[in-house]
Amino acid sequence: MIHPLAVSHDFGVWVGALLTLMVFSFLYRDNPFYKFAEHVFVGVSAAYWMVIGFWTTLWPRVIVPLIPEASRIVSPDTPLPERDLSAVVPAVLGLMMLSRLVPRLSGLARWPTAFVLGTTAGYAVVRYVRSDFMHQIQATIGDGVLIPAAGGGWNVAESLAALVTLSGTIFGLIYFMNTRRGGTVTTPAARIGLLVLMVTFGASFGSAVMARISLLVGRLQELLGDWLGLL
Amino acid sequence: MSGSRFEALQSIDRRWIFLALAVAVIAALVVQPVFRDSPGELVVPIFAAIEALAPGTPVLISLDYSPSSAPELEPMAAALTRHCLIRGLPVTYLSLWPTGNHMAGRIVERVIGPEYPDAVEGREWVTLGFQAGGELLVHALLDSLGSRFAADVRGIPLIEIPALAQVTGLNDYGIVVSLSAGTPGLKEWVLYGGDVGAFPLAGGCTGVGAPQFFPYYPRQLLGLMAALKGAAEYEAALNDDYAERVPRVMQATRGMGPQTVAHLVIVAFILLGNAGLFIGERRKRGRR
Amino acid sequence: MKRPTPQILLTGVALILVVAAFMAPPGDGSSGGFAGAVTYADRHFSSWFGILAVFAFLLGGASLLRTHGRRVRERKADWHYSAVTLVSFLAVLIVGFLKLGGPPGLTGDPTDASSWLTTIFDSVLSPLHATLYSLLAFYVASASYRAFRARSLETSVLLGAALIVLLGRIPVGVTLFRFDSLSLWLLKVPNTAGQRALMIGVALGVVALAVRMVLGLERGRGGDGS
Repeated sequence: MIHPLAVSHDFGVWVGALLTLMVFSFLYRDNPFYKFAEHVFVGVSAAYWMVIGFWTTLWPRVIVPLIPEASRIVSPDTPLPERDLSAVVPAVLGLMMLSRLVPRLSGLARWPTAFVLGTTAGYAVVRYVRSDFMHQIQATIGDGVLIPAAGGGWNVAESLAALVTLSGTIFGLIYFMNTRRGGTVTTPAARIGLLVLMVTFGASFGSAVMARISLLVGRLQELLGDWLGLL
Repeated sequence: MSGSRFEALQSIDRRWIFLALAVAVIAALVVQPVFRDSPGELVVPIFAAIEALAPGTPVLISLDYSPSSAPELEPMAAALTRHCLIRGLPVTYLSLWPTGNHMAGRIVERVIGPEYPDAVEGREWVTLGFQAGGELLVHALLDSLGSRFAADVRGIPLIEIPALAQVTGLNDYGIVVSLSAGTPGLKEWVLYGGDVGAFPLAGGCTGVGAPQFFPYYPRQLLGLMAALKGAAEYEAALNDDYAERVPRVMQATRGMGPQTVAHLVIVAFILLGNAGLFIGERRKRGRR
Repeated sequence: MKRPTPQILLTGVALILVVAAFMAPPGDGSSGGFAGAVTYADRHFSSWFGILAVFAFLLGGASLLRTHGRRVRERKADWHYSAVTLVSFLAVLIVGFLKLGGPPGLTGDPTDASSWLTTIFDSVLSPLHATLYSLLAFYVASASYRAFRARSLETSVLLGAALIVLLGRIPVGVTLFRFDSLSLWLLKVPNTAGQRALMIGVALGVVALAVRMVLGLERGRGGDGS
């Protein structure tokens, strides 16, 4: 139901609405209002991430373990935590990472980078093999393609679906292995695999359109509702 | 129609498309058509799993999104929160994203505060907030929440929080639901949490990510709320079972009206462009 | 003697963590012995990773300050927009680090409902973030119209799948030729098949890349840009 116009008196809502209209102005063409809003976003979001990261992670897991007395600043009533010198290691690695800002010292940043890459590789390789390789193969062939029906016989729909899934997965993998540089498809099986992937990409695109429209609907809902009071 | 009109059908200025879309969505928002949904195949298992939990069983909701994805995921968080509070299941909110603290705050401000005024923070719900580490936060929480969170966002130590009395690590939760807009998110919860631990894992995701999570269902994911439709389906399930205890029309259901209109506009433009292509090519072949 | 390179650290950390994935922690919770050492490393490496992620945020912020500060100092093109970035950045930094507006001093949660950081989040960051992404709705509509043409079998299949999902994921799809059931089947069966092929391929790629990194065959990963 549409309500009579009841514009908000909240300053924050007005700021949000004006920034929103500045961004939407880009749809007509690029302009100084849009650029202003974009640069505000860059500055605010960078600082926001720093602040949240500092107070939620750096403070309790680096600064307080190394200097327990510092906890009095934030929690004067709680008992002093114990000193934990193992926090020196990430603190030193972190400072080495910041050395990228100084050209003379930027080589030091290779060590924390190596640590991050080693950690990522070490944790990821086992998990990807388990979840995205073994479990996916198991899910594809695990129940076979003849699915029994509850009352005896075969469940034709489920069996057909299992067959399509199994064959589609195999054809898709064949496509990856049989495509020449430049994207030339070499075999009929690979062509079928390409068609399966086209279905995948089409479904992804349709879903992505849905997602973007939802964002627009949400934004316009707030403009018309919270700002203009029409909804 | 002349040849130039068919070509014109294929080259409409994009600003007319923008205008048509904007007018259609605004009109639908003003008229507010309400389409009732019904719980879908991938949403029902999540609802059933929460229904089956005994009162007092803790539930974890990971709010892995930012304001840009809130229109799709916040309705899911709101619906799950309503369901848990109605069932007497204490909710823990945490996040793999820095914006997670504020996203949890919005649920408290917009749902818990107005609709459940008797709910007490620390008893009915607790917000642990964000910790950096992404997928490795999930890995650490498997054994112990305390390995990363010394206290909740108010600074209260975990040991003093009634909502966490039964919880040491992730395996102590009745269900874990990740509402995910990207990376780190649901995929990391599957790889580092669900496939390693012993807790039921369900997910909610944006439309962008939805197709990639279907392979995980049902062996690795209990259920999946995909995009705004998934949220609307969960709201429908809530309305079916708890009509007197939840708002009649919730956020996602209200959004499906404009969503429907926008989809029809886009489909119409796609068909228009293809109609121009087909008719133009037929005419070219006819001339030869 | 050749200086130790970070490659040794990368290889060592990766191998320890792979071993940790297959090793149960010692039952007595001790950190002695090989199992205890590997478990200790597993627990601490994951923690240090998160801490380094925050240092990366700090690096990004400092880099932004330097880049935009230089543009303002040297009065480069569009320097006044850089000034806008700097002012917004510093304002939020001060408000957030000093926890202004919330409980007195530094005792409160920076994301408390009464804090100025929350006000900035609600009035500035959230609307901007949401609106910038919602612009994509318009461009996706325009791109759909321009690019989705059924010129070949492959593009027709792509187009058909997209239309089925677009119509099936809205309530009207229930009445329109049961597009809802068709779109669900499409997502559960052929989409899953294609996604599985992609996932298996990516998983193999992740393993290959990890092995190359551990063996030092991947160049260009040094922090000095080499």
